Amino acid sequence: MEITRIIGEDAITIAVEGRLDTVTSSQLEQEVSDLFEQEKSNIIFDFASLEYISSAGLRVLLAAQKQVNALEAEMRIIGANDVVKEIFEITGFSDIMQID
Amino acid sequence: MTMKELKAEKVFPAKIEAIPDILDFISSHAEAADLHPKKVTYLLLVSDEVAANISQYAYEKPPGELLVQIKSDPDKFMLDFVDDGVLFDPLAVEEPDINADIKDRSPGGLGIHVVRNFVDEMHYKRADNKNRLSLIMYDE
Repeated sequence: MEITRIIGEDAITIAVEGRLDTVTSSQLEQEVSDLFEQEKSNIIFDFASLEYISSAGLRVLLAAQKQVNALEAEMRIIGANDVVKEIFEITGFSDIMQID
Repeated sequence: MTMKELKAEKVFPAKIEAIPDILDFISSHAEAADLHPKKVTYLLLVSDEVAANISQYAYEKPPGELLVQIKSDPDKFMLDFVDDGVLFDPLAVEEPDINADIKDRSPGGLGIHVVRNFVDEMHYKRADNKNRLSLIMYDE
């Protein structure tokens, strides 16, 4: 799984390639934690190259969304494929996150 | 398209580090059986959930072992996870409240919820001091 960080004017985009599962999600957790430490709170997750996400990955996103909300910042998910969107629907994450 | 008949089994250590090997074993056999690619993705997703649960909770003194058994026939792919850890019936786990507000969403319960919703059949049996979780995926 590969993570690419793209620094934009208003937000940081985190692009994920591969799978977000039990083994790989801790990498994303570290990435998100680094961003909050640097006080970058507007985050865009680019999931165009994400194959699927399991509950380990969902927990990382949930924690990120809660923190973003507390900081009154913004978080968006873009490029999710059909399987990933289905996972978000089934878990109710599509109601608590902005998924474009 | 009908699937190919095959059978395979392998024992893995019930550790998070073994999960990539478990997923490779499952995906290579699912592909060999000609399971529809979307169903293969679902299979890997649920297998990650099950293997993670077993690695984290089954054994009071880790690591134990996890037996993965595969059988496919022309229209379904069957995957069994067998461990001899503490009794754990995933079908008895309470569903998370997926309609709760974000502030009320807790991280727990998501894994089993995902498995339930992405397999076509899920069965649990406790026998001979072993947990047997059977997942069945119909071909698309």
